[in-house]
Amino acid sequence: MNFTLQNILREGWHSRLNSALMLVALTGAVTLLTAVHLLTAAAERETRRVVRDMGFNLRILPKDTDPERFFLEGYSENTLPADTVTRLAAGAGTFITFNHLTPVLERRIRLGGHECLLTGLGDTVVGPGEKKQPMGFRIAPGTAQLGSILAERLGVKVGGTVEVAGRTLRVERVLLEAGTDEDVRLYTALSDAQIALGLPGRISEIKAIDCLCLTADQDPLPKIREALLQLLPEARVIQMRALADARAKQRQASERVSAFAVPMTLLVAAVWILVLAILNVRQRRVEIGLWRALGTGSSRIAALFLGKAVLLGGLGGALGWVVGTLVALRWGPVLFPVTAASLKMDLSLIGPALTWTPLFAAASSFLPAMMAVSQDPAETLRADG
Amino acid sequence: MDDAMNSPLVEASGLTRNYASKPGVVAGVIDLSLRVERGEFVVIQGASGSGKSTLLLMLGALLRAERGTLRIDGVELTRLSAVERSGYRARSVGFVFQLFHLVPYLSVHRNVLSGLPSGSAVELSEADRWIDALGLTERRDANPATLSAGERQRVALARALVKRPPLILADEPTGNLDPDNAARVLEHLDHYRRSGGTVVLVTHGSEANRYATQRLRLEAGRWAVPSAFPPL
Repeated sequence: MNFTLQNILREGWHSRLNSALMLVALTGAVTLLTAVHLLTAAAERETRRVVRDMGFNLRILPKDTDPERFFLEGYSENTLPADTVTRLAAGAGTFITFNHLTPVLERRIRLGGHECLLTGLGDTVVGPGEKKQPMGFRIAPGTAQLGSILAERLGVKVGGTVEVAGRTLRVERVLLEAGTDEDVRLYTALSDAQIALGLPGRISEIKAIDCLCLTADQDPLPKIREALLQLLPEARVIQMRALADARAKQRQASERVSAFAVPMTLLVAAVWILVLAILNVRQRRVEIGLWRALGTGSSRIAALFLGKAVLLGGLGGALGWVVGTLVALRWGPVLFPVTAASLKMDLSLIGPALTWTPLFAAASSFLPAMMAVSQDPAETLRADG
Repeated sequence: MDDAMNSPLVEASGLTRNYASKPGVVAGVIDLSLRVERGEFVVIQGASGSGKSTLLLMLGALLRAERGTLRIDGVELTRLSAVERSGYRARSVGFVFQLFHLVPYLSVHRNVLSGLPSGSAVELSEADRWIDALGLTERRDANPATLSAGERQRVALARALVKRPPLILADEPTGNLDPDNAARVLEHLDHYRRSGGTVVLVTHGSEANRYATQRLRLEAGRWAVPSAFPPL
């Protein structure tokens, strides 16, 4: 075995406390980074799921929609061609601002002597390469989903049927009481709604989520409207500000945690290693002077310190990956119960852990190593003047 | 080659080095000249702070002279770069210190080996030979912390001698030893001198006087007058 490597190993064992503390710092840093990486991914999934469950926050309407009528009725009385969704999806930069584009046709109708809102939902279009679940419901043609009050009024249960403009639809699901107008809605496939309402090939709006994730004080609406003007000049957009704001805040909070945790972890670990490496150099001043007296070159002396850092870095990287993964798998499901099943070990982190940790440790020990190299041996070796 | 072997091992002229060793105290050496022939045992005496160690560290190329010339074994040390001075120390000088300065995490054998450049098989056996010669066979694999002071100094001596340098520089090598161990260390140094080596030893004691072929005294960084020495 190489003489320098042997000396590094022997010194590492001799200075067990210093080595152990350095290893703890490196392992701790990699543990935190691995756990933060896995948990951040989980948090993002959770956030995405939570904000998705908040619902759509953008409503893209025909430009000539009367705002007063829209807010009084709850839907636009005007319509757009149904292929507006595909045209919007094909536009350059659409998915920078918009996502989960869902075509909708809504009207107030009478059903079994009761007034309700008929909502026909088309298939959701998501950004290219995304595997996002469609928003809201996917409703098969010939089926329907009923709000709780509507189902109660009609006396219909799951498996029953409803007659809509002469068409019989099977009730797939009765929704839980929402405390909103959803309780008096009848959801159908878009095609069924178009037939029932005599509006084939038409939609009354496109529901979407804004991807800018800017909070209200960051004034996202002008940006959204400008984007829509470029993509779909025949439409206008209404933002449901409270929902959008809550979504943006949730998302930004999650991003801030990552943006804080990663550099803080690296900084604390770097300072920790720097201090320990300086202590190690100070403890070994006489030894360094001796190596100098024996004619050992600067590079070999630096190698004693940097080599120790690299070895501990490799060990800390491996240990940190294991511990960080265990921590994330143990506590991740507690923190993120909704997406717990998607928490898995990430083998792709092993390579970076084993590569970057030794480099990071060496970089943190570089200054102390240079101190060791530049130390005046005469100062430590003389008996007296 | 013959000329080189016939020339003095050490030739110094006008060596000067000042530095602040303690606040307000300037120590060092001033305008020193020195000539050491091969095979000599030079004892340099002086009180603490007289400049003995400074001179020794300059001879070992661990300190640079501010002025003057210093030629050892044909090499002008004052002109060497840091890398060249490391090479000079590795090849030409063996140090023995008062405080032994053994590497605490290496065994006796490894400490002796640390005086050699490559750790080859030949060097391994040479290290063992010196360990045996200095009576450390039983302690070959011991940690320095478990050794007596005398044993530690013998390990340091073996480390200095193992590469058979032309010059051994000993800084108070007996300062921490009892009389028996001090005599033993000096005997080994004298044996090395008689086998062709050269020793320069600094001390404030008188134990080494009987081995000296040349004795000098430093006072405040300058040579004291020769009459300060008793006759050999």
